[in-house]
Amino acid sequence: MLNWHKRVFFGLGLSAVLSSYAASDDWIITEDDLFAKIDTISGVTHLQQDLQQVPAAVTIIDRRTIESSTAVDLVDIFRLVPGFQVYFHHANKPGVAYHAPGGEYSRRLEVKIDGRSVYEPLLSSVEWNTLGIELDDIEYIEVVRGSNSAADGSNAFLASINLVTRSPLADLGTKYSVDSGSQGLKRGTISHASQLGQLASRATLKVSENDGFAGINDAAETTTFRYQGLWTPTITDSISFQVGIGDSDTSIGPDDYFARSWDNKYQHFSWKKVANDWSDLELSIYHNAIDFVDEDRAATVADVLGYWGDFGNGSVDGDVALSPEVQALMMNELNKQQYIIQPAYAHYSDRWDAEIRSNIYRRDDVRMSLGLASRQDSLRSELFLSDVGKVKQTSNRAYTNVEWTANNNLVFNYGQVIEKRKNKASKNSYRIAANYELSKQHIVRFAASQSYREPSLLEANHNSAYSYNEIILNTPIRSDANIKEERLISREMGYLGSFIENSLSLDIRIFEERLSDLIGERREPYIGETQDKINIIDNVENMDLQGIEWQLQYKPSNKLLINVNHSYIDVDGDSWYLSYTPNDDIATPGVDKILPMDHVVPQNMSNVLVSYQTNMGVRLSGSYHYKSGYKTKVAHTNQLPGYSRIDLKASKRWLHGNHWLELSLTAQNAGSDYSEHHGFNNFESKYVLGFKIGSH
Amino acid sequence: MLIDTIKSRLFKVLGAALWLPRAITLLVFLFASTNSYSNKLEHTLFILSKDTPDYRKIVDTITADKAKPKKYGYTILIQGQNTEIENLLKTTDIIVTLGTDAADSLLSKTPTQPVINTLVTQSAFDALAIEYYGDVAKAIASGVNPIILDQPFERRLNLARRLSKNITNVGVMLGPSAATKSSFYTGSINQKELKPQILLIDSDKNPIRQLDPVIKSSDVFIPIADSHLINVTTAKWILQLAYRHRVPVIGYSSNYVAAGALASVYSSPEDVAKQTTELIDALLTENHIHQIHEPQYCTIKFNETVAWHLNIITPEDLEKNTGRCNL
Repeated sequence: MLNWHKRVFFGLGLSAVLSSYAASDDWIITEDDLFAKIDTISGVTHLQQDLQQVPAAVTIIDRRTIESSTAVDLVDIFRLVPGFQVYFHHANKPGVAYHAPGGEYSRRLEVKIDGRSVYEPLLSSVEWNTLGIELDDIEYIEVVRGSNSAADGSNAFLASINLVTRSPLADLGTKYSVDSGSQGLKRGTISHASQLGQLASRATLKVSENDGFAGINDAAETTTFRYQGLWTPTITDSISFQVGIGDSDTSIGPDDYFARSWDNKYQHFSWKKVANDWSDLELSIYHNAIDFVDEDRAATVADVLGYWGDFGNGSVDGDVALSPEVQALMMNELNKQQYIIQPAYAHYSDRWDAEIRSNIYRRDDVRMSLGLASRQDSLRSELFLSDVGKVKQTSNRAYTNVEWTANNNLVFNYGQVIEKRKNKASKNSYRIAANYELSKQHIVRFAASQSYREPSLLEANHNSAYSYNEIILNTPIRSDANIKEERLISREMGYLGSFIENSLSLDIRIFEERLSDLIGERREPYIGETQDKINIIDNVENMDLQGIEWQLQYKPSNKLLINVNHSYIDVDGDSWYLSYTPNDDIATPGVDKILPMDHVVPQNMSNVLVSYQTNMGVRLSGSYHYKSGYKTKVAHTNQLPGYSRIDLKASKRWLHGNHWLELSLTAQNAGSDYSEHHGFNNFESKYVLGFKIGSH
Repeated sequence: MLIDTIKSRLFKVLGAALWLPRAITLLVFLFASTNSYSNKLEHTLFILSKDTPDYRKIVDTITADKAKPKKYGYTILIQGQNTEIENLLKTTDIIVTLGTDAADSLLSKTPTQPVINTLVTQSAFDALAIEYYGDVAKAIASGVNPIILDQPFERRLNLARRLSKNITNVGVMLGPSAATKSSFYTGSINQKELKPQILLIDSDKNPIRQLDPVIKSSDVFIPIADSHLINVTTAKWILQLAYRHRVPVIGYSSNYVAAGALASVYSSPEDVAKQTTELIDALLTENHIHQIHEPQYCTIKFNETVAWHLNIITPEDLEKNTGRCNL
């Protein structure tokens, strides 16, 4: 619960805004009106700020950069963000990670589409293939590099991404696009934007399929539908809403490539009110639902006891002494043939989130954002939760971000979020930053933050168990009862410079991040019918990261675009891999098996994009991507070799009256094959031919 | 005797010599006090509406420039932070206000010294002149010299024509503040042999429904600055609809370009400082005639990403702080 002074603080702030809805009757235009900020960066603190004022490193990928890039899939574009690792667990299971190791389910990164979080509570990650958003749908992407928990809450633990999609106003008419290429890629989109009376609308239908990597059973088929509506009853009110559904058939792996079928849907409502010259108010409510069914290898009681009961050393009646209950069970032939591992398992997750936020710009030197939000996650899973029914978690948060311009050269930012889970103690995440303007073109930034990431609903409640007649025969994985929040202490120094009449910008971030109590898996002894160990989801990892990353963007004219970035990260840490004491809560050095967390992220990553538009209107783009070697799992002894690749793209758009047509050809990895994230993922040269047609 | 006589005459001469500088100083003082436009007296009082970087930058530029050739005295006050303004007014020669609040504060005291109101819009100055002097002409006659911040509409029209030769229909959005000047904008556009599409935006109605048909039928769209609320709330829709119909928008500020207008022509702090410096010098000449000063300088800025989208090549010779505005 918020204590009294925090309640008063937020109450006063919001009531000040709510009481100010009388529109100004001042009809004289002043210099303030002429200098009014119109639309700038808002993803960092929710305040409208220039890049020079924000308390974190920010990368903006605008429409021009997207179209100039060699990206084919949405995740490809994040290679243009320094420090971001893009990888493919398999061809249809992409991942994006910032600084932390990129596992099968990449956590610790908030991803939002127009403000709606798409971070799934069920798998504690973002399922990129289910989003229903492709590069063509995006107006720009705002990436906050570094913790943004103070503004976005727990999930923005290491970074946050806001994908801002094209407004229904941006186009009119129907647009078709078709892509065809290597790996059996076929992709089609029909989009129609219209103005129906007061309502601006866009409906988009997408279908896609591909065969995945050669020799691997990781194909996918996806169909999504999305509707966006925008209604602006007055100049100060705008109401937007989005609904979407999706169906995706892909696979899980890589040990066995079982089929996974997704069904997802969402609804998002947002109302923004510009109250007066110095404040605005925004209400956002959304609902995400994602269900999936995993194919599994069906097994009977006898199969399980036979398959696992020997601990891998022999038959069921070999070296394992079954308990009397199990022995009695096995006496009955009917029992032995009962299926306890089903051919398929269904999982359901739901998220409801409501947030009200106000930005107050009453004073020139002090501006603030205040917000209150509540979120309820629920999930049901036959397998992950042993079908115990619905598990729920309610989390409330209150936050503020304040910007204080101390003098002409110095801006301070302070942000804080208090998050309270039901029946748990509240957690405070904060960020403080000072931006000092050496000159108009050169800014240095010093920032420090402390952030917490709550365990997701699944991380806190995972309990996969196979049982029959209430006798548990096997429990491969469960959560530790005392699992707690992950913690990050971060310090950074940044530089932002602009040169050559602002056509060239340089952004440097030097950072030190101390991550503790990271949630992962350890093993501990377990006395069961068919096992001597169990995997426990617990706080098992600690990491210290130090490094430097920089990006350079050069846009001297509308013909040439150059984007270069590099990151260097040095990782030191440990992972509690194996405990020798059941129900242990603390790792014992020298006794337990503790592995070093070295080379778990690529130490060096470099990316270069050069795009040039000829006088004939042909846009030629080339990009170079380099990633040094790294271990995909902490227990691996060998690193996956580093790789570099070159991507090329040529495109041209023809205009005829109100109609346009665009052709493009992209070649990804126009060179020799390389191993993508796993030694067995062979990334061959990939060619994609694109065709788009539309009208204005 | 002879020696005494010599001594006596010598002392008289010396005495006279000692008085001579004092007499000259007295004469200069008398001359100066009867002509406040003398080159000999220069103490400027700057009153800033706010202590923000843009305001400071203008004052710093002016004072640095003035201090180069000679010693130059000045005082800087922040509006609302100093109660000693009455005393300072007695000892200052020229008063320069930056911003509407500072102009409001000073003109309410109807000072006798020459005044420069810079960083004020035409509408703000008109309102202040009427409030404190009865009308604009009386304010000017009393020694008030506004340097208008808003760039003439004609420059935006000229900029649009420089960017695209094939312009026929010019869309213009007027908010409540400029609604009464509709005929002026219509006339300006007609004068260039172009067709005006004037929209008077109604803040209680759907802005998209109002803007869409006008932008759709325009070859270029020019929003006229209005109150902060109108500017901020309409800009987003203007820019998105302009994107939809591929219509270039000519804005009035650097921020408008950053948000997605193709180009803007506006008065930058450097432009304002330059003109203010020149006007301070001019005020110190005897024959200066007080008047309203239109912005002599301008800055033009382009958004290359929008230019790329519209397939427009931006003229390189324009995107500079061009000195005297050549639009």
